[in-house]
Amino acid sequence: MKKIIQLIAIALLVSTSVSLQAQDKKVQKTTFECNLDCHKCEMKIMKEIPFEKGVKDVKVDLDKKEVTVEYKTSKNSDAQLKKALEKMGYVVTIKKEKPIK
Amino acid sequence: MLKYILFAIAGIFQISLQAKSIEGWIFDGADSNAKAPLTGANVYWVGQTSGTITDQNGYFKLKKPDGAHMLVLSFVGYASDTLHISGAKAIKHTLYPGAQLSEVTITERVKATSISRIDPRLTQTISQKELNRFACCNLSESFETNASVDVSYSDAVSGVKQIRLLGLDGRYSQLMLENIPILRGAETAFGLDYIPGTWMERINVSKGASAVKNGYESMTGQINIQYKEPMGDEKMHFYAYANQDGKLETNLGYTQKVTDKWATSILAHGATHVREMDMNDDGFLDKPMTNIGSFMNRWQYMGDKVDGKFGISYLAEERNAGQVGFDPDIPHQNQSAYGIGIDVERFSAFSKVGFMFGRPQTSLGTILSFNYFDRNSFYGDRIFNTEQLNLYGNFIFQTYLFNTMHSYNTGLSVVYDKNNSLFQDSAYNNANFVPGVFLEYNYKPTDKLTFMAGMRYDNSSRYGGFFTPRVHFKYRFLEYLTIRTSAGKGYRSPYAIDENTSLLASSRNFIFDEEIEQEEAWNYGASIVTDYPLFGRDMTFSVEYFYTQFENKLVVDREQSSEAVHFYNLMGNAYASSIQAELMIELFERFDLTAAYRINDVRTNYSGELLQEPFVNKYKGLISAGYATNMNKWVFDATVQFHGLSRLPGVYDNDPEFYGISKPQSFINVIAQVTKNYRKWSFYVGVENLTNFTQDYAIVDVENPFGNNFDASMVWGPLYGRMFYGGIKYILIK
Repeated sequence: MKKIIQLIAIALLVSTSVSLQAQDKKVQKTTFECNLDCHKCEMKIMKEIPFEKGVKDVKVDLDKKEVTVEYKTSKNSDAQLKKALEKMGYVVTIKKEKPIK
Repeated sequence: MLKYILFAIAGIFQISLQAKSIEGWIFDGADSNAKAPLTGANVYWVGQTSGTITDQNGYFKLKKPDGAHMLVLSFVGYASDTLHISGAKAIKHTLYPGAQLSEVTITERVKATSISRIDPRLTQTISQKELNRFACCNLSESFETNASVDVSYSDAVSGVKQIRLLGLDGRYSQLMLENIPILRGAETAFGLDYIPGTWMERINVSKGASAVKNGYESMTGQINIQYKEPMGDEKMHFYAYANQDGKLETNLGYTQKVTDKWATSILAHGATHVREMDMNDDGFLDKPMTNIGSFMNRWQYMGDKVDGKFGISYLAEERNAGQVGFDPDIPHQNQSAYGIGIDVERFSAFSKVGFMFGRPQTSLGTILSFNYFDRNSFYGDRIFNTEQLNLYGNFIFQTYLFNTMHSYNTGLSVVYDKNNSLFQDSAYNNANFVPGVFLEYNYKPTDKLTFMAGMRYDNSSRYGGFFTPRVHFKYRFLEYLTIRTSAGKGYRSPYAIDENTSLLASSRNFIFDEEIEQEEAWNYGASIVTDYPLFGRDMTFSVEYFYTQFENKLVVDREQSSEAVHFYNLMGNAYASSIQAELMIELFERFDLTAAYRINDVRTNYSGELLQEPFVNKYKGLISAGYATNMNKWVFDATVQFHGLSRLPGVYDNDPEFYGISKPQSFINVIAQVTKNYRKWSFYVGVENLTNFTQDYAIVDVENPFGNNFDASMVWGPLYGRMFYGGIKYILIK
């Protein structure tokens, strides 16, 4: 029993320290214009895009038909993310780029 | 004076709301007059719980919370529309008849648990999100994180769990699968185990009197389960679960579109228990060795004027329990060890078809169902076999009078129940044929006020004719405050042995003092719910009171003697009162907290003495918290349950230790779970009964199971200690 808790604690510590180290890397925020039209699209995107490499945050704006992605430039690029959205069947254009760090 | 103050407050609310409100008109596409208003249409934001209904001019006004922009417009019998709202200009939109008859689906609003603002009854919706908080295996366990429904073990050997609503046993609430009454009569004992948690889309729990169109049976409320549908969001799911006690479980669901109008799905569930366990060293297995397999095939049709749902299902279960040395492969008569064996087979089929007519709010719904249940069992040397057939038909016509402010539904129903039981050497055979008619009137002059009155008359071939009146009243004021009151009657046909099979795990003699009549009870309730957003965050606070007064009840009397259980009709008083306060709040982003407290007072007259109902906790408290990291990658859930003191029946309550069982205590139970979500996969680990509190001794005269004092039904607390579990989920969205 104790061992299991210890293991869980170690696993948590390792994963936090890994994510802390990674934070120095450069983060890019890109907005993609996307032909979204329903709540289910948002659900689907929120199940897929957060798990693309290096993605830190995803916001879906159904009203403006936009998907905003924050990601680490060392691990991903606008072109690759655009491809990922297109693979889900959307027509995508890159709207603006705004480097944060 | 008070009136003016209220108006003033209402005015202030109005002003503060105007800044961020959206208003508009909804028109009826079925009317030749292009601008005929549609009254009573639902308007709500996707992902929010706030919503409203259009008034007699088709007008609505709704607050626009931050981030809300998808507005759903829906109406019974009409195709729903979702609009993108940008800016503040008024909306003019027409809804057309067609699609979805059954009821307005509210799946878009993903809150774990929410209370409906529209329903005149106090209805709580438990969504997928809530069901995922505790990876549970079946219906009874899905209520572990819910404050309104209690879950407990019925005896110390069979592993069967039971539920309670408003302090009364689950059999006094009506269980329905998509509005078809299920788990009746012989199935009440362990039917909850037959509803796999992963098949469910959501559960609606309505407390107090119910709608008369669903029958006369509900007394304390209704629990309506919605399974995943062929035309739902999911293409496929696969779940696997294992726990420390050796329980393994898998579930599979798959949907297939056949044509534009037809879709089908299969759902399969299998579970087995592989580890023999006796942690408390009483010589009895802690959990039964169970194998269960069930399968369902569903079809869904969605046409322009006709909707249909059809399904068939099959279930087989075997359960072996008892003393550790008992061998289920050898006939029990040839062994000296005490054993329990339960074999169940169940087959059911249903059809639901709805027809829409040209007139708005006008439809005809037909429900047909067939259910066959066969159970063969032994408890030591006691034999109990049951064969049951249920046929059900319900025809509901719904329309309005003058205008849509006055709507009503009427129809007729037919119920046929046949139950043949063999207990020891006596046969108990009975059949009950009950045709009935009903009428329910709904008055909804504004979106604030609803008055609903229903009456039905049924004629039972066993008990004769009887009326079932029910009324509901709902009023919403100050935008965020809703009060509800209800009163109504309910009836039940009791099946004394079937419903009390946990008592077979004892040496008590079953004594029928008289012919048992139909059970009959009144239920009265009142509640107040506020959903005022606190500091801009979702918040719901409710206080409710329900009182159930029995006119007749099947009294299960274990008080008179420890060697017998007496069954007789109620003489004198029996009631259940329940008062509950519940707070649901989003404390900070992605952190939800629920806190609830309930006091039960449940009493029955046992041969001249009004006693507290045994095993009912005097109070229950619950604190449940859930936190999800950004983008839902990690989800953490924990629930703490506080169980109040309960009473043991008869002589056992005075000095339980003398009889070798633990004295009832109040106790705390904790369950917790961590989930990691990936694109399509999720992994979870969790723990049940983290505090490791158990009722150490639960069996009277455990050394002599064939003696005169043996009793395994004295269960008031958890029987198993801390238990870890883990599992995987795979879900493919369409």
